[in-house]
Amino acid sequence: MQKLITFHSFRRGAGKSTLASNIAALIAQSGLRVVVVDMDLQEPSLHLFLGLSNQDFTLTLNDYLWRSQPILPAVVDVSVGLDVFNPGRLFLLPASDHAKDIMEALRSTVDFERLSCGMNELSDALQTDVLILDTCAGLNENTLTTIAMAHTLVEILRPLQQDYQGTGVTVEVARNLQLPSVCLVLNDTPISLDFAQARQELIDIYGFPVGEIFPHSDEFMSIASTGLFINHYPAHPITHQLREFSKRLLAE
Amino acid sequence: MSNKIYDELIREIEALPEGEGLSMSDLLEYPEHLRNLLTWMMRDRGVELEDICSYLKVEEAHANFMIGLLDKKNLIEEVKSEKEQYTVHMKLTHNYRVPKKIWQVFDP
Repeated sequence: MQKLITFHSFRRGAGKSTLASNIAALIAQSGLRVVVVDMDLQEPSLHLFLGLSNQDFTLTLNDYLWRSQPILPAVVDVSVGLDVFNPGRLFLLPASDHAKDIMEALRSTVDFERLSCGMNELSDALQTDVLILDTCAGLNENTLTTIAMAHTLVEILRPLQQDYQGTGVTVEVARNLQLPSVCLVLNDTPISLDFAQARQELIDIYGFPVGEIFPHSDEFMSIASTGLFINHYPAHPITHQLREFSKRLLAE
Repeated sequence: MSNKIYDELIREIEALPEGEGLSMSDLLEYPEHLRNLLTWMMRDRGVELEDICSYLKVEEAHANFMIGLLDKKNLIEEVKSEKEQYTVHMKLTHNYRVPKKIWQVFDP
């Protein structure tokens, strides 16, 4: 069975979609077949990171979940320009950013059986090795479902008290659900902070390993969610960090 | 032959009332063995009888009995596929309680 990695944060703006898209691309570059799914049905944005506008696709995950449309036609191959190593491939299953669809997603829970069947179908048809789910922030029935399905949960937080508190709740949920692997990522960390001390504090507080600590970066901000950081800055130290982190995620 | 975990699991399932399906918030409140079993079934996205036998280290008759109980409580359902597979039966609920009038604004 393919490995399922869920990217989640308790609070918005922690960098879920940024990290999920860049990690997905790096895994594809390494020669694996990856599907990244925009499960952030309330604030879909993954397509922007992968260089698409909402004019570039007609079907979405929403159509599959709530309008009985097939899942495969909604998948977009976004490997072009990624310099992927054969047979690597990166596919995106986008979510709709139309107001009506977002409202529909807000009032409904995802049909777990349909979602499960869809994931299995993607896995079989596209021969994927890794499935990455980019969830919405916070905890509700939908995010809990995508967390429970994960082989690895990547829980992202920033060095803010509100993030620390909320992450405590998610970590407790992950423990209750006995997830095979949980890894914390501290993102947008001021470079004045002692990273080694921050890492130890997170381990002490939450009892889970810290996958990576990413420093605050003006370059990240300057991209403004238009494309992948690893493409804009292939030689940047953060790109190197992302690459090493993606390798560790696969090894877990 | 059954085992201690299986026996506890059966007691945990029997103690539950019959419901309309599983919600994630219910799942988090369930006793340990049942919670672990259902989460495992979710993660595997469809498990066969022999997977359950191997997960619980029990014989088919015991696994079948447990499937029957879970089905009676509406916690699992058969997956529509070529093989006989089971997955959790999630209850479809509303995420947020917002007055109908507001939703109607967005209806066609």
